Amino acid sequence: MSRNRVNCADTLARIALVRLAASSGLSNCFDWIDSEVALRVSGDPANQGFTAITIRQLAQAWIVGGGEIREWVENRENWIHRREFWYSITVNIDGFPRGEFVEMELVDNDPEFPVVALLNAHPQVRGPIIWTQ
Amino acid sequence: MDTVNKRPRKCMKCRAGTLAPTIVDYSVKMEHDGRVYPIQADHLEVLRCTNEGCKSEVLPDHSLLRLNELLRLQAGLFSPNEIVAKRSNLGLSQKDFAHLLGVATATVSRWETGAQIQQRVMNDFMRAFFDLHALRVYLMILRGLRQPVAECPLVNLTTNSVTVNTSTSVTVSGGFVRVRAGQPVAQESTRAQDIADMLSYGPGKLSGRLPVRVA
Repeated sequence: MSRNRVNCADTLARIALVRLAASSGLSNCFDWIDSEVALRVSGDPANQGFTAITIRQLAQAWIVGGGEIREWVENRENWIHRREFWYSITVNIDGFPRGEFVEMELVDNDPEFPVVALLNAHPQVRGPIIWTQ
Repeated sequence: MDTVNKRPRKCMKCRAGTLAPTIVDYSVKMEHDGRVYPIQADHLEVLRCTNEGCKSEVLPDHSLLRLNELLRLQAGLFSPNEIVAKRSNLGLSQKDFAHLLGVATATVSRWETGAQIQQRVMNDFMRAFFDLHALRVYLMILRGLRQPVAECPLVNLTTNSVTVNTSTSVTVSGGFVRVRAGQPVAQESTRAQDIADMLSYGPGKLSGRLPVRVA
């Protein structure tokens, strides 16, 4: 899977919408895409028993706190028909030395009521160690 | 997330339908720590997409919390409230408890708020910690909070009963024994056991002189 990160003015506008959705404090605007994904993520042994609610809240807090949001061009065959871009963050959580990688989609880009769906979450396995006890 | 917008919630999956609350008897296989548990939750609220072709479901937070409770029951894990109660009964702070178990304080905090479900091995370790005084003492020695037996040769422990003279009080809290002059103490079997164990592992940690004598 190749990931083409994009960077332009439109990107910044879309990322601002993702941030707005997370900071709205509304469950309608920032949640797991469906129950299947929520239960799969919380049941993933790699996530060490963190519940779906907790991961969502940590992701939300990370974004609201100004954590970096990255935008990627969707080029995976199964998803290319559904979205042009997807978004990721790496949340700094104790117990995950390289952080928790959270994948998101901007479902609705209504500037007043943007909606973001959480698609997946798992520990980051590559990259620098960002957390130490 | 406590706030819910009054606008109808759109289905994030199909982006066409809206999610409508429905009460159902919900069956699901939940995974935890590499095992699968069949969970049955009666009268659970589920948000279902109104678009017939979609069939997407979303679980509101209170339903996810209930499923987590049922998962803990099914897996034989302590509930968050049980962990709080058992830790508090031992007079331990979250920080001290975490230090003795060898985990981060934040981890204990998350177990106690339900934000993180403990692994089975940690649950069993906690169970042993709560049940076995000897393990608590061992961990205190391991973490450098208590002196080992060899450093307290003055105590001759021959029985579980303890005699305390009338000018002494003994309190047991969080596995620590404190001795204070001035107040008599009634014997109590569980405490006597604690005191006997403490004396055997290190009276150097007792405050003051040792007017406590093992009969």
